[in-house]
Amino acid sequence: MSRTVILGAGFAGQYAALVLQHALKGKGDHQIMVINPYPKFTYIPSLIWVATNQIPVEKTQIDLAPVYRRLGIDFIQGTATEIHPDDNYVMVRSSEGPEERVDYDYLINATGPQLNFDATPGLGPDKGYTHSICSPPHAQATAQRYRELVERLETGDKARIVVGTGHGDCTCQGAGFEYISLLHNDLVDRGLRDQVELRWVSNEPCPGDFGIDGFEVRRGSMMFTSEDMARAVFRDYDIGWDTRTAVHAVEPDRMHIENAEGEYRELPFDFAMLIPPFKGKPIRYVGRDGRDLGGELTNKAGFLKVDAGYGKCYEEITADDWPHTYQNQTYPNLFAAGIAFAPPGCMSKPCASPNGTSISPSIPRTGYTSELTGKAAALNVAELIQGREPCHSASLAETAGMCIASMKNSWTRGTAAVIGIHPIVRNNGLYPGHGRNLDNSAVEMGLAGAWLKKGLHYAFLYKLGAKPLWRHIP
Amino acid sequence: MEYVISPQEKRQQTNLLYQLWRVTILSFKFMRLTRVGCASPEVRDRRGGA
Repeated sequence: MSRTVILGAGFAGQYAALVLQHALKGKGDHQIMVINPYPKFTYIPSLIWVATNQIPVEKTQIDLAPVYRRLGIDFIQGTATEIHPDDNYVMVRSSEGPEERVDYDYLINATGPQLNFDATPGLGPDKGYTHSICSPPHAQATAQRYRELVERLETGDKARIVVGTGHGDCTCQGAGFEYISLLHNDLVDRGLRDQVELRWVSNEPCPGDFGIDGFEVRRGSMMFTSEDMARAVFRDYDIGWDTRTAVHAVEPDRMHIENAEGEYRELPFDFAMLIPPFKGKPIRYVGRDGRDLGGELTNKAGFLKVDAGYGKCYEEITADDWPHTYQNQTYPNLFAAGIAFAPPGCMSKPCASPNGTSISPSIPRTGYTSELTGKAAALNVAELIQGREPCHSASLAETAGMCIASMKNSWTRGTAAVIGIHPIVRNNGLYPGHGRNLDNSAVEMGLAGAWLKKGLHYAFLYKLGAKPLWRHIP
Repeated sequence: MEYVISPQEKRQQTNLLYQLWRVTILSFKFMRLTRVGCASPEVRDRRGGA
């Protein structure tokens, strides 16, 4: 009999719970418990449609309790506040009462990111002046503000819209790219695009880098890059851009930015959606003697260290340094998956301005990538439970990355950029030259992408709802 | 020379028949990419690579 506790029910946590439940079926009396602050799973990639008033938030969510009841998985709606790895328990503040102790034999930390709006003064919808699409309430609030902006535009007003990243160390530029493209096409459909100036502000080295050092595919004898694609879209959509740029502070009607050359500028706006930087959830790691283990077990951003090669500079990091099993090296019964694991470094080349401002995109590891890490962690826990060594790997230097960037959401007139790369992290050992398998990559834009994007929305909700034959959906 | 989305490419991007063909191809490409996902070393060896 063992008990595995999974913190979080996002892509990594939810998939880990389903995979582990299946892996342990018929192999003894093993308990799985999920602890999540919310009673629903949210398909985060579709929040861009919520924030442009194209679908209600309910269409992106499924109730967790019925799924877990059906699978025999225990569920606590609450937030983990402390992990005691020496004594194998977590402290949980549940929604229904005081803090309680939950013991575990194995723990998977899949808590996702804490949205760190405090990193930039004036950033965020709660204490600042920018909007966000990173959580259901934020996406709904952004949708409301966008509705109000459209009403103003319909009276003949003009507006400046800024979309991008709100700090030099942000990730998830792809979500911002989707949002600005959706805004453009929505405004075109409403006949209001001529009244709006759209601007992209990002910490990427160039448009189309997306925090993954860009990508390229062969098109006949030509090499087509993500930078070519993003520049072409921005030109076609008449979107101006500032890349390799950090936002320093935001005021009600302007933001202060600095580029890699160290030049400071003010950027006025009427409506801004800036992705915040991420940090680890505020969970304390406490030793038996009450000592704070956070400094040893987590990186500076608060993400849990796993089997990666840490402490190397960008140029020194090799494919082998990326984690394989997602097992913590100090506590073998502790795993981290999804955004909660600490990566060994960046994928895009980091940079600092002459003034010392870091402008270094962090690595995106959401969606399918998160799922793969959750699956590896779950299968490795199953191996440990059965007395074997962890052997399941989901190294980002070996697995494929797939993303569909929605640019217009419609069955007949939609468009999306389909991106498939292998591997996610350039692996020059496996694929000398570009570090990626160009024969197993895909990049193209069109209506087919819009269909696939909608298809993925329903497929993920079906799979993570553990509906019949869910295991056969990759 | 910078890549520009040509009018012909824009027509292709919304041509239903062409896009039905592309969604089929892209689905196969995605399925192929998922096969290089999470696996144990033994499984990867059998597949002959990552």
